[in-house]
Amino acid sequence: MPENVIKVKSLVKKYGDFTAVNDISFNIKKGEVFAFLGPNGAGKTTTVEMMECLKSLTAGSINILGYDIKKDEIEIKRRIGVLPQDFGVSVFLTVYQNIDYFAQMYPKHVNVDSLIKMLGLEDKRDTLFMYLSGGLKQRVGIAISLVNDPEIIFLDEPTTGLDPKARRDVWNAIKDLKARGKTVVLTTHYMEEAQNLADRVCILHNGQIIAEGTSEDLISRYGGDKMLIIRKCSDKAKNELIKTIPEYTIDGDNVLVKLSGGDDMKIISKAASIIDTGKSTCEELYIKKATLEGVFLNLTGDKLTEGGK
Amino acid sequence: MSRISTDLKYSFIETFNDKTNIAIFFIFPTILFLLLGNVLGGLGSQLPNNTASGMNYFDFLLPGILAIFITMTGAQMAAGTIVNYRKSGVFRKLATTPISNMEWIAARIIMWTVLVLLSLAVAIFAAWLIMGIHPNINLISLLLMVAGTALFVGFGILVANFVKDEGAAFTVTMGTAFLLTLVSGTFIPVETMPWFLQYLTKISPLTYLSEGLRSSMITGNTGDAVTDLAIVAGLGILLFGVGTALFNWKED
Ligand SMILES: Nc1ncnc2c1ncn2[C@@H]1O[C@H](COP(=O)(O)OP(=O)(O)O)[C@@H](O)[C@H]1O
Ligand SMILES: [Mg+2]
Repeated sequence: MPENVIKVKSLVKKYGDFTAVNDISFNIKKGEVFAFLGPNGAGKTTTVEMMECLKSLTAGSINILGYDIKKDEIEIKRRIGVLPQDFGVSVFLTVYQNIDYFAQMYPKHVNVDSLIKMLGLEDKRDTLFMYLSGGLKQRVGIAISLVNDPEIIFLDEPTTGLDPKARRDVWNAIKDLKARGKTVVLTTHYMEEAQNLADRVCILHNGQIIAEGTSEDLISRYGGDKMLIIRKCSDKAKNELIKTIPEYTIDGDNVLVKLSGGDDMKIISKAASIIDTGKSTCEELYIKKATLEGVFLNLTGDKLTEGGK
Repeated sequence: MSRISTDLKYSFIETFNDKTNIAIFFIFPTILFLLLGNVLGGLGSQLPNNTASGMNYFDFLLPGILAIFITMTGAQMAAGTIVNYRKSGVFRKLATTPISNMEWIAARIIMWTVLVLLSLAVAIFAAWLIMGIHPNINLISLLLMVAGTALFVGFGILVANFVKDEGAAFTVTMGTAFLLTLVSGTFIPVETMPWFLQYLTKISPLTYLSEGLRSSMITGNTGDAVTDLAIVAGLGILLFGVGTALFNWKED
């Protein structure tokens, strides 16, 4: 059993009267990729920024690598690497200069060119940061978060706003870190990202933890049902469908049906026959395997990707 | 110490990688001097011997322009950089590393002061080359330039604590510089101004900066210059202290 490198107890953060993080507790193990998954506004950034020494705690405690964050901030800062959400560096310095700048902030730091190589930035070594694409900027940010050879790396929404290719590059960089035995704390609102990268996922909603575990574990516990998705239905078809099918969720023009074994085939064929009758048509019908998206939907009634409220 | 020297090194590189800064620091003060010198020089010649020492209007103008430049660039650089770094998330990143906000501000104060002094040197060189003025650069005038820069950098840091974007920072620092310029006897000798403006003159730090520079560089009136230096340094410590005490890069 690997040791816990992060221990968080009864953590609370209030902004004025508003409670952004509402009494959460969790532990993160050495060498794992731990993902906070939740829609915008769930409290992911606030939670990780308290661990990154960026925000004060309203209540509760955080212990990182044996150091209490309220007493030993500087010891913690030396041992963690952080890619904050919407971070900035000097746009008028090159990739090399920016990484070197941050490297020199630490008493011990790794070789800058080896980091540049590790993140595949050799071609851009002497390009000003301002001329980089979003994906490259993000990779420079990850390189900078590694300058002190940290034991724990925090990545706050590392792939938000990136195109699929750039996202895959960042994913590979994260897998690389795990392979090197680093502990990675990740936040994301993309369920594929959590499912793909994380050993354990912690689902946040309105500042609270609503579920925590491995993806498979969460899916089999809370999202375990396959879904029948019938998309872009006419009103008439929708009415027919919901009359015939016992359990359903409506999402705009779409009808979602939980498949929980037993009657599955019956439900599918009924649905197929309804959308086949003359004008009451839908555009598409397919079966979706259970995902973390479904876990979130089941636990909150909200959709993950469209935002919380 | 190595964090401060690293920040110093890269802040200079950053500044000179941005070519507009070269215009601001080295061309602008020179142009300002030539322009004002020519426009106001003619006007000034109608007020001959307007001070006891009988210096000409260019002599009168140079220290004032240096003082205005210190006011504008000192305040604007400090406020603009801080607001920009806060907004673009540079502080957010820096705050996760071991450098403290006081180390950062210490490095930047050194760098802003050196930059201002460098550009003053260029302007003085231009004044000598084109107008044939040889101001007397001595310890007092140098100390006045440093104290004046610290004062207005402190003011800029103070402003940055209260404004949210660069536009507002620019408006506040430049607006203040403009107001101070009007009332500080830079272009118009104080004695020729109406009494209520003369009152504002007394409380404007720019007055003491430009008079101190004038006394030390042109008229050789060391006693007055030392008094002015004491006032500028005192105000500098005050503004600077308040500004940096309020300066915090965490976003709680
Ligand atoms: N500085 C702040 N002041 C007031 N409210 C804030 C502040 N930062 C975040 N919030 C609010 O706290 C909630 C959680 O925000 P955040 O932690 O950024 O969520 P996430 O990262 O999951 O999108 C949101 O409702 C947000 O509007
Ligand atoms: Mg966030």
